[in-house]
Amino acid sequence: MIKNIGRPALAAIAAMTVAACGSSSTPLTQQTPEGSVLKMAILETTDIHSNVLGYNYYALTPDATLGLDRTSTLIQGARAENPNNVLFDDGDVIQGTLLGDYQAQATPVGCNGTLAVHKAMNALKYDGGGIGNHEFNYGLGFLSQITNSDFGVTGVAKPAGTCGAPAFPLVLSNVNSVASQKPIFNPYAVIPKQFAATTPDGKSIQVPLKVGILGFVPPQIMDWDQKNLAGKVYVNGVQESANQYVPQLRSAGADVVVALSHGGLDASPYSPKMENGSLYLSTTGIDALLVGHSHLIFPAAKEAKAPALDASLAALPANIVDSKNGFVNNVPTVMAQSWGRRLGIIQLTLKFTGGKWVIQKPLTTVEARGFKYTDGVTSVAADPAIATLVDSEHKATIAYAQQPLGTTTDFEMSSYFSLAGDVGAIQIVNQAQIDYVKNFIANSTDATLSSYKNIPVISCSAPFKAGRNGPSDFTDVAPNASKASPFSLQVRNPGDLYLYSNNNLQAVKIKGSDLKNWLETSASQFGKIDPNATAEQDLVPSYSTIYNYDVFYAEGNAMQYQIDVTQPVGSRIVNLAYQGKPVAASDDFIVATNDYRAGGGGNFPGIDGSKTIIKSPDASQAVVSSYLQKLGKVTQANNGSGQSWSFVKVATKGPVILRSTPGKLAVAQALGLSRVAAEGALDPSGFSKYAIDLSK
Amino acid sequence: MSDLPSPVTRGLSCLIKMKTYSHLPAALVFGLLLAACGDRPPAMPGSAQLESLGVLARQGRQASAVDQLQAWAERGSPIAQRELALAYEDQAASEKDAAFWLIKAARGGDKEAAFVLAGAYYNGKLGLGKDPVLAAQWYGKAAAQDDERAALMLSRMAKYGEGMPQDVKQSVAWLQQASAHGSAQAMFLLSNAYASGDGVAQDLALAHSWLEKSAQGDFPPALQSLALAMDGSSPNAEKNPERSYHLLKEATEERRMHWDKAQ
Repeated sequence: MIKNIGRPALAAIAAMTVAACGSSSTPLTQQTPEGSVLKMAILETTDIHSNVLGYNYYALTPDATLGLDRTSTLIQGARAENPNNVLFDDGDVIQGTLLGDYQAQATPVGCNGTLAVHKAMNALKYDGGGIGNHEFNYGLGFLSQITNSDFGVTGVAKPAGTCGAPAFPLVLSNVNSVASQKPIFNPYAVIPKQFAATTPDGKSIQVPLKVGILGFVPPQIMDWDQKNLAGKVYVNGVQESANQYVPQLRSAGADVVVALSHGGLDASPYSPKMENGSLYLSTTGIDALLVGHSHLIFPAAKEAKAPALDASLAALPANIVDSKNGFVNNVPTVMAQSWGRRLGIIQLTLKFTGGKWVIQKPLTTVEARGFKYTDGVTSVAADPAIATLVDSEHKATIAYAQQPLGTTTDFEMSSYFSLAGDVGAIQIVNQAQIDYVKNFIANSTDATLSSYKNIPVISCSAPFKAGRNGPSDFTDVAPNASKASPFSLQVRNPGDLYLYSNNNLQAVKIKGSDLKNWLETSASQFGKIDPNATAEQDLVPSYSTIYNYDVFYAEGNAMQYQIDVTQPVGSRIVNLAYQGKPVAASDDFIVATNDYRAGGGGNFPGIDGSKTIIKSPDASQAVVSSYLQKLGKVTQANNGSGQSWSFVKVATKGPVILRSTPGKLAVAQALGLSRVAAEGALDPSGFSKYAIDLSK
Repeated sequence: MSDLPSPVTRGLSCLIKMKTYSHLPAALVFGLLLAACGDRPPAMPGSAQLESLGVLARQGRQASAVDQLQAWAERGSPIAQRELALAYEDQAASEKDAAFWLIKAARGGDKEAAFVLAGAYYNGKLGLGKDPVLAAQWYGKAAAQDDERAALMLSRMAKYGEGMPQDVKQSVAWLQQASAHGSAQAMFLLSNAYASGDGVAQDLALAHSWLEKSAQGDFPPALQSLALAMDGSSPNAEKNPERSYHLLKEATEERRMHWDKAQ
């Protein structure tokens, strides 16, 4: 039995669809003459990821490379070319931008509201949608509300009444409730359309056509969203689910059956557990296959200067997959990349033969059309109607980014002189990470992790934003903040302190010898200074990999080390001590860091994933944000003066310089960083050359 | 082995089976009835069918699915044995049953079981004590069947001399095998090895091509490394700020999928 929730709504939508498309007054009872021909297009978007507008909410700047507002222009163009059309989305709709997080977490949209992305999709008159793995990111309760679906899952209750939701059917055939043992969404839907066809004698007639859809999501949602899903739902294999429901769709009268498969193409032997099982849907009796999840372009993009076919697609067996023309086992297949960057277009020609519509396979065409499809250079314009439609949500998201975090700071947290010893923008990150890891271990039920509770937890972080992209590219949170006049941090400021929103917190368990090697690799960012040279020497010759300058910290500033920049790389770390005692090679430490470093990023010796003991689902940025909110007040005394490292003092005959933003000597002076001696001339890139006195 | 329980022999009668499986497809019931009644051996279900039962048993909490897997496991199907073990794995009380069936399945040649069993020995899980030598042995069996995850673990064990003599060259050879079979994590570490010349001759071109491949395989540190190498500030790399931004955006979005994926 199919769950009947949404059935009444579905019927209503069907009626609306008929009303919307049946502009002709031709009676539905008209007989379709044998041999009539119908041309139609199936349009696909996939992996929109809440990119309703082409906008970068981190930089707070427009972004013309993506967004459903530009896809809207592609959709309108394709509809003009193909008056008989259906538009489907393949899932991963609601998560992916600050707008998505804002509407799901910061100020969750209520039952009486509709997500901005769904508002836009409703305006674009989608005919149906699938469900992607990211739909589960905010939990089943939220998903139930914003899709107005009762899942039949224990502990998940949809608010009473009709909630704001997509005005088109959502289908998902392979996720079932443990409690009800039934699908949580309608596994399939039949969408009745009225299309124009041409009779053998050349007359145009209106004919009914039923398009059936069914949806699939990767079984891996059970791992990825474990805490939202374990014990509540289970995920059947895509092929098993299709084998169950495609015949039901046919029985329900579907003339054309379209699979909305949120999964990529993988030719490994079939398993119901495989992540990208879409290829195995091609033999289940479907007529068209809309795929996604991999964010790739399939078939190969056709426009001038198009990107090459992705290697993983190019490697698929040619006897099964035609990547040039877009077929899998002769079933037309399309993947429209992601973020609204492309529109999938499958053109079908059907002939009324023996009393039913038969697809004329040789006439099928498939395209994944991008913004620059006309000439490879000119991008389509954004549809201004979309911006108007979601204007309030868009503005609210920007305001949210700028709203107070609820935390003040009494000092300027900057990275201008991070390479001269200032930790003002780094210590707070380290403190947040230590706090997180200590709590994680204290609360862990894992026997191995619990056994580590007496090992010191230290942390490292880097000046991520410190001159890589020019003289203005430095962190400077709370300029001019002071004890007398504290600065109120904004919601977006954790993103300044922790630049990379892709990082998750991880922790590694290492030995004192690993720590020494780690610090040596960090210290390789410094040039080798010759004390006897009289020519100018760069303390940091290049900022290009400055995100690999890890600064370590232990609570109470209990870890100390010095860097001897007169020595070659690998022999620079001296006087490494923890709690006043030299660190022995055999000492144990737990280091709070991120998934990039823990997994081998930066190629630090021995830090290659093998020592990872905590893989947190939480973003490093979120860890910093939570800690700042927990503190309420950030002070220089507690959070900005724990300088864990310094240079081994050396007098140099010639000048040693550090490049930074012009006009910031006062910042160094306020910090008491006397080794920043003077501001010198500008270099050709616009950096000021600050004189560094290594004898201080 | 003496501390492991013998499998529960269910000995359900044909009648009970018939009742238990009344909701199942007829073909499967027929097979099970034959199995239970022992007239002649029915055909073993295919791997996809058994894995589907595994999903129903583990995620769907269907007792009947556990019973069916048990029946096929007792009839010697390594896939059923593995799926049964995985269904038991989540429940602390059934750790010993999980280990028992996992060992059976691995001995029966099941690649996945060999990999999971090796992990249990490596980490000391499922009531099995930490045993790097046995871990290496079972990773070896899985790697011999082209399991890229097992090859990556062997690379790690060779690098640090766990369960085998330390051998950095051999470690890179395992990385090469794991990479050839599709491990994006191994590709990233192989890129690092070529970049530093650790265990292999330094080769910056190969380092870059494996980094690209690892990023195509969505290994998060590779996405980040590649993005940062092309965002305009690296003098020697291809400059492509738009691609850099898109790679980081990709990584940000997929953060939620990859948090627990790295080995």
